[in-house]
Formats: sequence, C-alpha cells, structure tokens
Amino acid sequence: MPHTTKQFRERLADVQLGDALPFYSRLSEEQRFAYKLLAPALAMMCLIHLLPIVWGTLISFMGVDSSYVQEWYRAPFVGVENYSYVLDPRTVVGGRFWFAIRQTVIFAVGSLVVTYVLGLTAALILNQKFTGRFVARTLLLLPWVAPVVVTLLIWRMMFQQQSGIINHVLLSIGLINEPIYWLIGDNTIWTLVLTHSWTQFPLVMIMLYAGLQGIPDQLYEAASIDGAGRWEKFRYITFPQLKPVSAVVVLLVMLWTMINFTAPFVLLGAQPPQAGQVGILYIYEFAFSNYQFGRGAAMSVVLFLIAMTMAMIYYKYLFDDDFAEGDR
Amino acid sequence: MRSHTRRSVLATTGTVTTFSLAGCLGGGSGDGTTIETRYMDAPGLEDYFEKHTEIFEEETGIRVEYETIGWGEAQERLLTDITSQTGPDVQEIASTWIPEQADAGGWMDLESDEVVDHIPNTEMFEDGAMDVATFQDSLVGIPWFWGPRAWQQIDEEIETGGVDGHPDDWDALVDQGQAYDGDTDLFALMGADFEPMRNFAMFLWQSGGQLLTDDNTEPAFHNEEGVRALQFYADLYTEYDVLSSETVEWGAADINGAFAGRQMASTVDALGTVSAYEDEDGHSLDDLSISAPPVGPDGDGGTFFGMELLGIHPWTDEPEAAAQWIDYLLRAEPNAEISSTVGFLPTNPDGFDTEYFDHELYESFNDEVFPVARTYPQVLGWGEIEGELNSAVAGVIQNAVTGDLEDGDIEDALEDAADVARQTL
Repeated sequence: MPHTTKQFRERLADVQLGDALPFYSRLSEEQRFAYKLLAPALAMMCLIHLLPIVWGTLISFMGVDSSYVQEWYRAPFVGVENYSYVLDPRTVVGGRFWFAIRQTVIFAVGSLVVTYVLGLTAALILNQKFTGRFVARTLLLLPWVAPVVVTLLIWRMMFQQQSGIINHVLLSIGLINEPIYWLIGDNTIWTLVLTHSWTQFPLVMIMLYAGLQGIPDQLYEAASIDGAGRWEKFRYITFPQLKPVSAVVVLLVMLWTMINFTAPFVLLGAQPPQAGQVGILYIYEFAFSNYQFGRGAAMSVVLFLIAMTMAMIYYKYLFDDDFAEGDR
Repeated sequence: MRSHTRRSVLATTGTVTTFSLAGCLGGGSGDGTTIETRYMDAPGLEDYFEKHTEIFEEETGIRVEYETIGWGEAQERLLTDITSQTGPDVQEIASTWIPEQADAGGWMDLESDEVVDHIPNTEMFEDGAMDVATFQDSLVGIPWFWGPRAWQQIDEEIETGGVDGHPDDWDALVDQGQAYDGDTDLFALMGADFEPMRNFAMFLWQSGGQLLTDDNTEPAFHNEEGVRALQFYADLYTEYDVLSSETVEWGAADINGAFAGRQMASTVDALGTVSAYEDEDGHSLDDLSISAPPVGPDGDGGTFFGMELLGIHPWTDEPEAAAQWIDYLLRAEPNAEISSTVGFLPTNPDGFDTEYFDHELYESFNDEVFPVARTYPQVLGWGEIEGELNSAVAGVIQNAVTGDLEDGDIEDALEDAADVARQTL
C-alpha cells in the first residue's frame, strides 16, 4: 500500500499508457498523472453520457419503432428520413415539434432571467450583516431542498383557476378583475417559468453568495473613498466580479431548464396545453407513447444541438475574453 | 446389537429425511414455484394481494410475489422489461398500450399450447372486452376489470335544482342545464390529461360518427359528425353554460372530490366517482342513480370504457403457474373484490352476484350502460393518433373557455389530427 503521495504517484506512473496512446507519450509527467487521476471519472462520463448520446444519434438514422424494440440493431437504416419528418414545419408533427422548441427556448430564457434575478437579489440580501441571517438563509433554501414533486403539486393547486389561492389574492388586491387560467391557455408557459424558477433560484443564490464572499473588501473601500454610491459599487465592482460565477450559473440553469422534465410533467401532466408543451415533454410523449424511438431520437438530437449551439454562442460572444485570459 | 442399533439409526434417519423432503417439496404441482407479478398502484391493493396470494399458495403451492408501480413510471418500466426481456411473469396491461407493446413482443399469446389449458374460459367475457384483449388475432391479455362511463346523478341535488329525471338526449341535457337552479353545478366532466379525448369519443359516437373507418385504415373522426360532436362539447362550456369552465382543469381527484362533496349534481364517469361518493360519511349508494349517457341528435348512444387486463410476458419460466394465477384472479369472488377495490366493474359476470356488487346501481351499469360502451380501436399507431387527437380536442376546449376559439378552429384541429392519423395508419 502506498503511504505517501509520492509513493502513490510512483505507482500510478508505472501504469503504461504511452505505448497504446501516442499523444500520451508527448505529455509531461505532471500531465500524465493528471490524466490518470481523471481516467475513472472520464470512463464513467463516457458510460453515462457519451454512450447514450452516440446510441441516440445512431438510432436517429434508423427506423426503430415497436417492431424493433427488442432488436433495435435490425431496424432499417433510413438516412435522414426521421429528421425530415420531424423538422418539416408543414407537417403536424413537425409544426408541433418546432412550436415545442420555441416554448423550450421561452422556458429556458424566462427561467434563467427570473432565477438569476431572484438568486442575485437573495444573495445580495444574505451578504448583508443583519440579525437572523442564518434563519433567512435556511428559509431561502427551502424551495430547493423540499421535494420538487411536492412543491410542484402545491403550486399546481395554488394556480387552479377557481379554487387556487393565487387568483384569490390577485382578485382581493384588485390586480385582476376575473380569475385567470394559469394551467391552460397561453399563460401556461409563464406558470411553468415561475414555478421552475421558484425551485431553482436557491441554487443560484448559493453560488452567487459564494461568489460575493470572494470579492475583496478593499475594492469596496477604495470605491467608497472615490465617492461611489451603492449602485456604482454594484455596477462596477459586484456585478463584474461575479462574472465568472455568473457564467457557470447562467449556462447551467439554461441547459438544465432546456432538458427539465419534472417541472412540466408534474405541473401540467402528460398531456399539457399546447403553450406548455416544451421539447423534452413532447419528445417523451412522442417516443414513449408511440414507440417511435427513431423519430424521437432525431428530435432529441435536434434539441441537443440547439442547446449546444446556444451554449457555444453564449461562451463565444459573452465570455470569450475572460476564458481566453484564464487559459493563458 | 451394535449392528442392529446402526440399522435403526439409519432407518430412522432415512425416514426423517424422506418426511422432511416430502414436507419441503410436497403439496401439489406448483411446489417450489414462485412467480413475480406487477400491478398499477391503487389504494387497498396491498391488503387484497396479501390475502389472495396466501389463499392461492395454500391451494396450489405456487408462491406469488407482487409489486405495485405508479402510472407515471409504468410505461418506461414496461419498455425496459420488453427491451431487456426481464421483469415479472404476470403484469397488468392498460388496454390502450396493447398494440405497441404486443407488436414489440411484450406479451405472450394466451392461446398458445403452454398456457391455453390454464387460462380462464374466455367465453364468459363480453365481446367488446375480447376485442380489446385481442391484437392481430392473438389473445394478449385476459380482461380483468373495466369501467364504462355512465350518467351518474345525485337525485336529491337534481330535484333541489328543479329538474327531474335523467336527460335522454343532448337537447334534454342542455334544457336541464339551463333550467337547473341548484346551489351546485348540474353537470361536470373531467378535462385534464387524456379526458378531452375520451369525452370527445363519447360525443362522437353519440353523434353517429366513429374514430376510424371500419377497416381501421383511415381516420373518420374529422367528418361532419366529428365536427358536430366537438362543437357540442365546446358549446357545453360556452354557448349553453352547462359545464363550468373551471372543470376544464379537473382530473380524477378533482371530480371525485366534487362529486363526493356534492359540489355537482351529475357527471358521466366510471365507478370512481360512485366509490368516492359512497366513502363519504352519511352517503349511500341509494342517493345515486345511473343510466346510459344522453343520446345524440339522431338517437345514437355511446360511451367510453377503459379496461385493465392481465398478461403474461413471453420470457416467463413459469407460464403454467402464471396462467393459473390469472385464472384464480378471474374467479367471481376475487374478480369482484379487486374491481370493487379499484372502482371498476368485474369482467366475470358472476362477479355481479357477489356482495361487492349487490346493489341495483350496478345492475343499471350492467343492463343499460354496457350495451352502448365502446372503446378505442386496437390498431398499431393508435397511441400517436390518440395523443394528437387529445391535443386537438383539449386545445379547442381550452380555447373555448378562455374565449379564444374562432370559427373554423374545430375543423382545422380535427383535420390536423386526421393528417397525423393518415400518416400513422
């Protein structure tokens, strides 16, 4: 058994990978050690993430339906037929799929904005020194630690048109004149955004709060000496200093929302109103109810590419400089 | 003496061993056999299966293990089972899932030599039930319990509201709805999940239409009768004000609660609402009356029935024991008990002679409602059509209550769904 880090590294260095992987022989000792440490995680990532992606992409070019569920590899190769079927906006399925993608983008961007604003506000409040800060932090974490299904079901009850408390409150304070439909019709997507944001904002809050803790006090002191007010400090110190954390938070929230299944499924059911039909729910229903796995996989690949493209654009245009600096 | 003692010991040991083995292995053809079974979760199932697996094991020596799963995860679990060819021996089947799952090789043909002598006598089942259980000439499931939707009313509430009797046709339903002067709503239907589709199918049949052509190769729901049915369904909310707009959000729990709490006087539903009503303190089945739903303009009747079946997976190692277990569950008493527990009706007609269905209300179900009860066609691709049509109908109904329904929307929605049906069929 190795007793020291040095011994452990020597043992690990004995593992010969250089012969099998040419690039590996070009790496320094430090880099090799790092790769070896990463290997188990990388293997798990391949197994859990990469393999399904590759398999999903593969069957998106095959006619996998109920007849081939047990022997999918025997399904005929259909080329891009599945893609042309689901991407053609002139067909009902294509039209619905594109509409679902549009709703997904609204869901993701809307949730991102609400989650970030709520999370940042809460983090800024928690970053102040006040009595009961510990209790406040615990309370603010509740939406995230509470079982999400229970939370969503409670929201569902609160959003009922006649018996829900939301309409009662809005009516009683005079904000609306008659009860609003939250769970059917065009409002559905905003209901989804609100409830999902409610369950997610504490995570954003914690991450930003950690970021706020890392901002040196000297910056604020210097700004005070220069006569900066609260807004200027936030605008020129806090917000820019949070940029690295925000970059991660924004990307995670956006991608997690795009592939979030629980919130729309629990809040709106397996057959949601059209406005609440987000991509992941539509794909699930389409693929699993109809056993149309080839076409469902094609839809999933399209959704995956859209999410990846959005992430790349985001990094390219908003954070390119910062991360390039990091690389250097 | 010594050898005698040894012989005695050996004889005793042999006798004990023989009896021990007989005790362990004896008791009938199913000795040592264990089958795994799975059912959709419902209140009361655990007690039911605790009781009946014990009786069955005493009778046959076959041990039955059971598990229950929620509806939300059932489809995925089944798909995993079918893909991997693993899972329970016996499983509950939802009728609308049969075509895809049978096509995927998920269910054994129950008329195959391995099991045909052990399954229940299928002659006892109604033709409609057997139609559902049969896919492409194979018997893939045994009808277990079913739930035709009937007109149900709380007579006292109806009378308090100043109307009388059951509505015979659409006009009478509208007249009663407008004349009703009670404190509650006269009539309510569920509007969430797949309910819009089921309600539409009912109105379609009452309107003289059908979902697909007779040979199941073309859609037929988008014709004149279909448009009339969907228009009537939407008008019940808006034009006639018979259905309360809030009910468009209602699922099973909502309508059960409202009916049991007397917040509505009548509905068209399966036995779930009746059971919920009966469970309330101070309520009795005598308060209720049942009939077939109102007929359409040309006198056509129709109502939807859902059915659960029991099937055997083809990967089972114990097909005979699995069939015996199904045969046991379909006996009059266990069949009636499970049906009563989950709020459905027994498929074994003798179940109506048991204590569980000893009320004239159930006779009304049997005599008046069954003859007009219909269900979806068992055709491959129906799942896709059902989903599309449900979205179309739900969209129309939701737009109606939110005031966004425009002229031509109904025709367009049905035509869109028909396009999908044409591609699928």
